[in-house]
Amino acid sequence: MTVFVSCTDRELLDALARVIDVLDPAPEAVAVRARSAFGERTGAACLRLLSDSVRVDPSGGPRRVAFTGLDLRLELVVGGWDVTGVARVGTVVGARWPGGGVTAAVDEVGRFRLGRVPSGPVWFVLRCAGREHATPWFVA
Amino acid sequence: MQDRDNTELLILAGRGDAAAWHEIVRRYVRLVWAVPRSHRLSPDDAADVCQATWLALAENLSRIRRPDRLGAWLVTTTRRETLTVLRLRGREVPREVWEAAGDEPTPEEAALARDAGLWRAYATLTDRCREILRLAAFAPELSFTQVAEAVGVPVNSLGATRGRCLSVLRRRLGLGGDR
Repeated sequence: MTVFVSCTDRELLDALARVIDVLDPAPEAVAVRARSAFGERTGAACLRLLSDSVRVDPSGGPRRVAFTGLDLRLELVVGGWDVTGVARVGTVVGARWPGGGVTAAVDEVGRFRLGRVPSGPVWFVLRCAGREHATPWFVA
Repeated sequence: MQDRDNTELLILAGRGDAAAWHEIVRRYVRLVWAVPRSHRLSPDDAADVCQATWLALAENLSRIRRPDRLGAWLVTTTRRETLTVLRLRGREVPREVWEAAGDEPTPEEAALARDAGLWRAYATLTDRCREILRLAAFAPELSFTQVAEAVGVPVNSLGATRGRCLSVLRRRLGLGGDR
């Protein structure tokens, strides 16, 4: 690749940017989904991530994700994840993903079962005293 | 919108201005895509990670404390999710995205062959080198401190690491590596 012999570092990086733009560009569908993310805003209060088993032990088994007030257990099933969990406050739990969602009642000891949630970006919402508290978005 | 700075765009988008949001996406969609792809996530998983990042930004428009560091915030957020998805899915085998050029290349084919050589050399680098060089290529405005924070290396070693990555890239292009 003698054409790059006299390149400065900046010129080589610029050439790399051009090559990546041609051979691995951000697909238009990604830009479309990015633009549409604007319509998904809710302004819900945030439940903070406490732990995620995938970050500690990625070896397998159900994924356990804990947030302030909400513990989730995600088990891989055909077409997505079977989601169960425990809510320490609230009466209704929901899962939302772009274009869809599901809700479930919380029982008297805090347990709930949401059923199947598709793979991809998702967040969970806890309804408590008329207010929504949501986890950050993450990829399930 | 293109003459607005990030502070103005974030304020406008936070007030519901979709055009400001579209301008933010236009500026950074390439950079955000670069993060999961430099870690060899599959296109589908990379698209999910990118969307999670944009959804997170949309939800946090009023919480970005340093609009001048929006690029670094996006890289850090995307990288965190990328690493989680890598652990979740396991490593993907990189796709072969290039077909060799013919025996007698036209000028266009010669240019493509040159680019293919650069792509192949880049593809052989370590994840860390690919990530650092892709950020350097796409976001030269990010400071060493911002890049170091985003990719998780000490700021005082980033310059040397980036230099080594460029040297390896040059060596694999057959250019030596002494620049």
